[in-house]
Amino acid sequence: MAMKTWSSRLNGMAEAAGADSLASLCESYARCGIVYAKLLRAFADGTDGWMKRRRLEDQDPAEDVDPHELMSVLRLAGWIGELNVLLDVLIAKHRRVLPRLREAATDRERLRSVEPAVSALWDSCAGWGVTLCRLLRLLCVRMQRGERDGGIAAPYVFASMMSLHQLHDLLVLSRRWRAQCMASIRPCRTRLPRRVWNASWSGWNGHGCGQDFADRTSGERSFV
Amino acid sequence: MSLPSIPDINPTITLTREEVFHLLLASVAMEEMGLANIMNAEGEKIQRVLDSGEICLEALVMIGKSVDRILRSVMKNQILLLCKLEDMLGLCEDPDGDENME
Repeated sequence: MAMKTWSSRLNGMAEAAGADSLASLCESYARCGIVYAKLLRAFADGTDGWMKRRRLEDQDPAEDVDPHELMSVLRLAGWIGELNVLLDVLIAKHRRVLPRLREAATDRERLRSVEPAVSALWDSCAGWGVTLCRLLRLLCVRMQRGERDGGIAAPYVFASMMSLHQLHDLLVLSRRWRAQCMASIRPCRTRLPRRVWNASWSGWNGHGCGQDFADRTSGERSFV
Repeated sequence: MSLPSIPDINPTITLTREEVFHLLLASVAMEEMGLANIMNAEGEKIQRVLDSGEICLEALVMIGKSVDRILRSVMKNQILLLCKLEDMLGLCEDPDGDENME
């Protein structure tokens, strides 16, 4: 009797799943993308908040900030390497499902469920880029002073290079995911929307580096 | 002492191949959603710490380690899910598999 009930439940589940299983799978991927974006944004905000707090506390942040603290924060961002692997896996899974979904889906809007996730991820990448620029500028100032004192700059350079490399990979993967989705949904239009470009451009254009911060460290060359 | 007696049950599951395929897809989707919820909880934890106002380096270090640990676990599961999905899609496309199954 119990087996019969279990079997009928399984049949019911199969009927329900059969309706839109591919679309729900894509929605789950979109959900994953949004969560990645949220994690990245939260971490960027946290690092930003920490730096702002240090700036409020200290008149000259580059003067008193402990280089080991900066290195610790940069090392913390190491989990972005894992995020890159996750995103790579997500793109691979999505690539396998999208052609089937395109054939099966009658409602084209279901295909577009992933668009907000792609935009959110790109936007968070820009946010993290801004924060990383600020952090690296602080590190650069500190490093230059360290060199004057005869300090060794190699660990700073290595940590900076790793962070930039991770960010680069993240941006490439985000771009690839978006291109893959757009090629599937709207083959005739694969360019990024203007607002997404604006968000990323403002991130990399130095606007996000903070003019006030640049003023505080006048005399030093900016990264961007 | 004797061996435990198992009742004579003969489950008959009447699912077609397509239904099984959809069930498996749904199971993958549910697992994805579960992993996404775990990571979402991690993100909310970060935001909660940030909202508390006191952002010190120790808090950032704690958050970073926590996120790192969770992401490593999720990453392993995601790779397994990718393998599962590939097997499912391969099984669906394999005509010999059809004959064997039916």
